[in-house]
Amino acid sequence: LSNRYPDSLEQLLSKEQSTCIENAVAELPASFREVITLRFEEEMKLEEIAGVLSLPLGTVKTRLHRALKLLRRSVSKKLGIGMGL
Amino acid sequence: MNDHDVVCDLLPMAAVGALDAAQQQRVDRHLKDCAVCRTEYGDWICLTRSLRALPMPLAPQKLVLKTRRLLALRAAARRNNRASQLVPAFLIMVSWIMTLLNWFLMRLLDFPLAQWLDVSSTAVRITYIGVTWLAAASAAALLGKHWQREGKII
Repeated sequence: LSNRYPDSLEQLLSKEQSTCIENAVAELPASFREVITLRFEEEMKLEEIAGVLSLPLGTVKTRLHRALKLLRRSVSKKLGIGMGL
Repeated sequence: MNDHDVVCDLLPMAAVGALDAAQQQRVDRHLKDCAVCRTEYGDWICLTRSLRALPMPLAPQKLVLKTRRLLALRAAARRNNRASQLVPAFLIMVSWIMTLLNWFLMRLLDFPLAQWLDVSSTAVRITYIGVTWLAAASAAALLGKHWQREGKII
């Protein structure tokens, strides 16, 4: 049991982080969330995202950049720590 | 902004692999010498890795295909809308130019009405200005209606 304890704790922490990031994504403005979803869930290239959303590539890059910064700030705030997961 | 600040700003996009070759080289060069940025970069990598590892609810294949088809249709509709916006803008320009040209045409042609158009007359000038403004305003109103129908403006 003692050997299994660290694993369980790690799993618990990992689950907490995962939930926290999931919530942070859900709280993003829709225009940022769609870029994040297409990039990380659909694993689309930025050019593909620009095509799907009919946006200039520069706009997609800007939204992704801002979305990541917002996410990081939100996750750090929620976990009360840096991102060194 | 010094090199450190610039690179710091590029780190999230570097972690996503969305930098061009020159920017990526700049980041790589800086990371070799800057421990602060290396830590920062590590954090960004952690965040993007966590995003990729998020549990994804598996949507039914039919729904995925339907959504993708819908997205493609919407993108095509948006492209068409953009093209159709040029038409009213073109109409405004044409109406304006035509109204301006009418003055010269009336003056040039031996038209009975042309004799009445005396440039020195204040009344004619005011009428002419009024007509051009009315033509442009009508065209602008048409454009506004067109955009309203398309939901571009409320």
